Amino acid sequence: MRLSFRLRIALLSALLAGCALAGFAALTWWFVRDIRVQQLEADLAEQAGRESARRLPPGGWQQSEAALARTLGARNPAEMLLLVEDAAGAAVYRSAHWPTGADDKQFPWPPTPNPGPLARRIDPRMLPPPPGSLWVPRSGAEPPLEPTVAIASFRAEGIAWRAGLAVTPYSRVALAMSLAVVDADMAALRNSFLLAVPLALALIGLGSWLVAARALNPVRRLNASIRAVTAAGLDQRLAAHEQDREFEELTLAFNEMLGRLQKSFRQASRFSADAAHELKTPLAILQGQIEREINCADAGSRIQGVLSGILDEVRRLSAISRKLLLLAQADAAQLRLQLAPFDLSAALLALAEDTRMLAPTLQVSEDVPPGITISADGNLLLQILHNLVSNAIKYNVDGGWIRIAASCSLERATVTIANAAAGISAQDRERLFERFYRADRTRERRIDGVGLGLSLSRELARAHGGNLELEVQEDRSVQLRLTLPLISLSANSQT
Amino acid sequence: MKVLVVEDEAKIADFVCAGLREQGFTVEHCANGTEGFEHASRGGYDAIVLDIMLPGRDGLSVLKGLRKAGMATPVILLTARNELDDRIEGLALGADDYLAKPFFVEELIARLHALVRRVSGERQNVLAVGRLRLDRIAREVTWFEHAVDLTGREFNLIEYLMRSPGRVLTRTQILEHVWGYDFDPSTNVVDVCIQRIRKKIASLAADAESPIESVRGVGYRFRKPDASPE
Repeated sequence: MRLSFRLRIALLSALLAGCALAGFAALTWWFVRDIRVQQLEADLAEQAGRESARRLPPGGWQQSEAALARTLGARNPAEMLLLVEDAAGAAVYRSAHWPTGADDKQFPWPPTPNPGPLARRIDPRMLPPPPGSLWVPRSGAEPPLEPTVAIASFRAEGIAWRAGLAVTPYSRVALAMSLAVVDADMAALRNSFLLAVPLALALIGLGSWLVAARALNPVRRLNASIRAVTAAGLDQRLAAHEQDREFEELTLAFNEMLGRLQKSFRQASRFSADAAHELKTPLAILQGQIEREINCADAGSRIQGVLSGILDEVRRLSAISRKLLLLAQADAAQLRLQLAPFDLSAALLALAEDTRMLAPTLQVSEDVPPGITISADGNLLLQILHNLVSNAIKYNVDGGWIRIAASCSLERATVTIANAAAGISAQDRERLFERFYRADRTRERRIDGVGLGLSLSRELARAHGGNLELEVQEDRSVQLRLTLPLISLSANSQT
Repeated sequence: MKVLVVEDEAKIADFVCAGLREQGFTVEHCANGTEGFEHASRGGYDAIVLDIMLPGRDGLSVLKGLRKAGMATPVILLTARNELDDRIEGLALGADDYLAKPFFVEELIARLHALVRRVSGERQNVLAVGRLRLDRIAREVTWFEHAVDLTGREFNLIEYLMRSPGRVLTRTQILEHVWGYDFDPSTNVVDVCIQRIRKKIASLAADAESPIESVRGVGYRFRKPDASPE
């Protein structure tokens, strides 16, 4: 199924916003983590430096380690390592859970600071006696010795560590923290992102959905105008200045298209007028000459009969071209009616008389009140009526019937012509008004008509402001109903 | 009766002029509008047959010019273009009648007669050929002084035949004149109608020869009385 434009806009906006948010979240996360790690490294270095200045008895380091773990925020003692070595590199204290993969010999120990006179500040009793040491500690006179510090990072037993290394002339301290501490904080941040981003996306999607609806409003308005134009006629134009600037162009383009359409309609209509002229002149010549030859030929001669037959065909040709022209005009809404009072009752009675003459075997009945006069184009209306009656005869059954009825209300006259029929299939019913369609499918020309009759009759009736409809009857009969306004407004037929 | 035919199509002009002359009209012909207008404005015609599509000056303009100059000569327009449009415009400009191409010369003659009759004040309300008399106003037909009771169609048919005795009229021509140009041309309504007229006439004077003669394979003609000067 094709998604609606509106839905696609909403989804696309959500997708774009999602990408942006995800990128932003990833960057933020990465920066925050970086800051946290740097912070940790700074803390480690500072603490290591501080530790390196302390002189503790062997058992004191363990307490110190526990205190450090609390200070640095380790969730359990295993997340922190402490190593204290003497100047010779022998471990004075090493955490019990020191991982096996961590080799302190490989640590990038910073260079030993020059003790200088400062070294004397340190109380030598706190330390194992440095071999070959020359200094004599004194108390109180010098500032404390600054250790050199460095940062190390290493992996051991699958865990990433950061270590602060501090070196003094008489000791080395490595204080390490597992990065799992940082990662735990980062996980909290990630979780808050995972909660916030989808929520934001949903809001953006909803917003775009609403905005798209607003954006589509002009299109909807335009659509409504276009529909109105199609129904109203090709000379209509949409008002461009009422639209937003973006849609003004579309409206102008549509108006241009209407113009072209109107032009080609005019050309088509012009063409049919020209074609009619071109056909009519040779037909007139043909007809006039044949007529003349018929009268010159010997009465009853063979050639006279032949010419008479040809004359019939010429008339048939004229009738077809005339009907096609009328249809073309009706299609282009160019049909002009010459309206005059028309005595419908008299015409129907004359038709009933004709029907009796034409089909003496059929039972013809009429129910026509006298004096129904309507305003119509007499020639065209007669054409409709003739067509209806001749169809009623043509598609009748042996010994069948035809009923011609008329009635009149305040506004409309209604003519119904019903006849017995050999049953019309549902398919034929629907296609009865199609051009060149004949229900018998044999195209036999026993009776005139190329199947334009009903289609043309309907167009002519509509041009009068009326209609021609097939009324659904029981199987064995057909009824056509012609409705006509008593006063035809020529406005609806003239463009 | 003098008629001016203004028609540029030579072949149409030929058979129109020939047909009119056969019926005793005096015919003059112009092949373009300018010339046609000059002839017509000189006057002296009983009727003018005017094509609309003409070289030089078109028919409607000629008609307009004539009416402006105060010429009231009856005009029949011949139209081939969009006949309905031209018809409206032509009638508005003062044409007396119109014929859409293609047309029958017989029909043109009938219209010319009717026009002239109308203009000259219904001179010929009564047609009489042989023993058949037809009163156009009262719509009565008598045969050997007996009134014939005819329906509307039957009256129109016999009137049409009586107008040109001795001339063969095809079924199509009759159909078109009496029933209208779009009546189903392959019906036998003409034959049926003729049969009924014949039967009605025969019932009044059984021994007399029927005035309507069949021309096999073609149509019918009104029997010309032998000694009729017409």
